[in-house]
Amino acid sequence: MLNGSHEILTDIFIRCFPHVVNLAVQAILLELDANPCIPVLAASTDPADQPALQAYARALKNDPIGECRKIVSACRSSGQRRRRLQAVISEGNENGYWRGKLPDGKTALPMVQLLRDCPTRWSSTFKMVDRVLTLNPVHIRTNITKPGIILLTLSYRQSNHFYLRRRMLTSPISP
Amino acid sequence: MKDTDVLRDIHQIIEVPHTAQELLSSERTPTLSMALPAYELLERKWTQLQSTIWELSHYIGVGIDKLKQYVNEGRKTRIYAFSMSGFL
Repeated sequence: MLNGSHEILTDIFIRCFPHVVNLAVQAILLELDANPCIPVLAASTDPADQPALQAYARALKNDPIGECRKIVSACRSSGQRRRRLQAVISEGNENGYWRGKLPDGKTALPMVQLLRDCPTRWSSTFKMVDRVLTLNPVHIRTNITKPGIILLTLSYRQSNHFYLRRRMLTSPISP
Repeated sequence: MKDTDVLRDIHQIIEVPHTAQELLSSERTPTLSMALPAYELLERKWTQLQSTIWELSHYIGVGIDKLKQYVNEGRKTRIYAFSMSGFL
């Protein structure tokens, strides 16, 4: 009985556009994660392209989307961290630190938080990556040797190697 | 090659479906008639990106294949053609 009704259903079934698109995006993200090297190296048969492709594959193997997720988790894990991120953005806006560092000649960063993605939410990975790239001028680095410490740096006068460092929190990141 | 550059490339690829979805859900009226043209637009844009971001061409191909698979299933019903004909 189920088989019969399935045939009828395919005829009247209207597929949900965003759902299908989301499945296609998930397929891409899954493949990027599962197979980051060989398809990149196979993108060109010209030996002259290989060094560049190897560098590209190495960067892709570092799992840039996974890194985004780590940064987002670290910066959203407590109210204190969220406030710190806002403080760094507004401080830079007030003293003109972002001038010249932003695309399209913008002089201020928007007062926004980072966004976490979720496989079942349409466009959420895009929104996460988009926000991370927007706030990229803020030097957010998770400390690999001491997980749980994240450093938010505003690098003033970079030529003089003078850094203003804000140590955010020393408690471990809750999973 | 910096990780951020690769991230920007991936960002470009997944920006296309995001824009297509925004386009389709921006109208208050049902936009079923727009569904097939939107699929085609997405497929065309992704195909273009395969030549500009050729390093990631294989991955874009995986997305296009998935999309085609569902669109072909969807073509079995005549509802899209009917909605595009303007009788609805």
